[in-house]
Amino acid sequence: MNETLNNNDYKILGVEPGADEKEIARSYHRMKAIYSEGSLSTYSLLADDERREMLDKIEKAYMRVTRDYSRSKASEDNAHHEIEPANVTNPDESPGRYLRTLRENMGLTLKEVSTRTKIRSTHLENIELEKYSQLPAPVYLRGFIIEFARALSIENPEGLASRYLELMQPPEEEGED
Amino acid sequence: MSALKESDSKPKSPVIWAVGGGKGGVGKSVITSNLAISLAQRGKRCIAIDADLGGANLHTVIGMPNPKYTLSAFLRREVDNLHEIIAPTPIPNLWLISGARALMEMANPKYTQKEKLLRHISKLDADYVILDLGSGTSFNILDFFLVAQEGILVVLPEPTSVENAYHFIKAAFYRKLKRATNRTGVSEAIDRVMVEKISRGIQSPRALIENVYSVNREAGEALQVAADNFRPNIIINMVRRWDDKDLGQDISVACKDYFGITVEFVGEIEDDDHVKKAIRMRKSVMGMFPASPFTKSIHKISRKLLSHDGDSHE
Repeated sequence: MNETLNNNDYKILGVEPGADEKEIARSYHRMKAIYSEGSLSTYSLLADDERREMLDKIEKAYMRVTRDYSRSKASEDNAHHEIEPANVTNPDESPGRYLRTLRENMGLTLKEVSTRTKIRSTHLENIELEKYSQLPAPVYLRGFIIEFARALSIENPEGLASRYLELMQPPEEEGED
Repeated sequence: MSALKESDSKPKSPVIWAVGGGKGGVGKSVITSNLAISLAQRGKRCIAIDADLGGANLHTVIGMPNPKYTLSAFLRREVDNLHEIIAPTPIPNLWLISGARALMEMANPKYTQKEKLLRHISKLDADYVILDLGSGTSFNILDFFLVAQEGILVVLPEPTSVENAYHFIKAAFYRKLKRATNRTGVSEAIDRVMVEKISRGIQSPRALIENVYSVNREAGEALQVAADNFRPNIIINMVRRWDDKDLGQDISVACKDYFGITVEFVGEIEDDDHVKKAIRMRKSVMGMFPASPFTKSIHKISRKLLSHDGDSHE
């Protein structure tokens, strides 16, 4: 039963079950673009509520699929990465998960933080999930993290951002042109 | 027995392609004529029919004068047979049945006239018949579109044209379902859904079919077959540099997702000044500018459409 639910999620995202993370993310962004307000390709096709419903479906499917993906990956990597429950209390260890813990503790949704910070919720989510490959360029990212941290009333937002960016870079690979 | 067999198989029906699009000015005539030329250049014996009875101009974009006899002569019963009004064109393998000089009232031929025309078209001696449908979504236009093996919609990358395309797809789809069953109950159910949903889109054709199926299995199956066989193609025309290159593919995804209808994106044609130049000179684009981007796109699209019926010559 779980499987059929899952397959439906993949279908909503327009990918085959077993697609890799990159492909899923690409397709997710594309589906979101197709159903976004002002999209030419679905102009006049959907009523506003249907459009919202569709976007919501895509969002939820993506959440579940990526969660599953990280889970199966986590078990492959000997549970090295674990996504939920966040419950990370040490910001140095995993600043993204730390942000998630704090946000969840405050009972805020990604959307609410997004409205407050004017940062797209996908970015916020990717920051939380530490999806390095899908994050914006470091110059922007730094500002995003600081804003995000501020919205959660973290004491030293700049410090957290620095630590985040530090963890993104493998220590050996310094000064790539 | 072999003689019998031969005469049996001789009148092979032509493959019909129909080009429509909800709106005027999207380039239907230019695309129709050049698709026909592309087929003719591949050695297919091809008849282009200007079924745009209201505003026929296929002859102009093929690069020839008004033929003497047109479809209206056939509809007025001045001739008995379509073969009498077929005109040769300057292009080898290509003939034209013009709609020019058709009277405006003929833009809406009666049901019997339309059925007669369809019957005669399917008996034409040619490999391919390419129909240029007028704009709009009248039953006449939809029926010509549905009778074709390949229904082709021309869409421009702009909201009004996309909206028209969706309107056309919905209308054609329901017309197809309605024609698939004569059962009054079923037909009424489809009508109801159409009236309720046409203004804001169909909720789910699948749900409709399942509904019918639960009431009447046979009718449900008939609808399912009709729905599966409904596979229109779309061409995005006059694409400019800054336009979204994914539009065609995205429309296809949305149709599958939202309607459960397979709409195949068969190609885009960039906005190409050669088209205007050729039309001003009253010559065909492909004849005048064989190396133009437009010509290249048309060839690509016709190859793709040919591959649908397993024809992969060349």
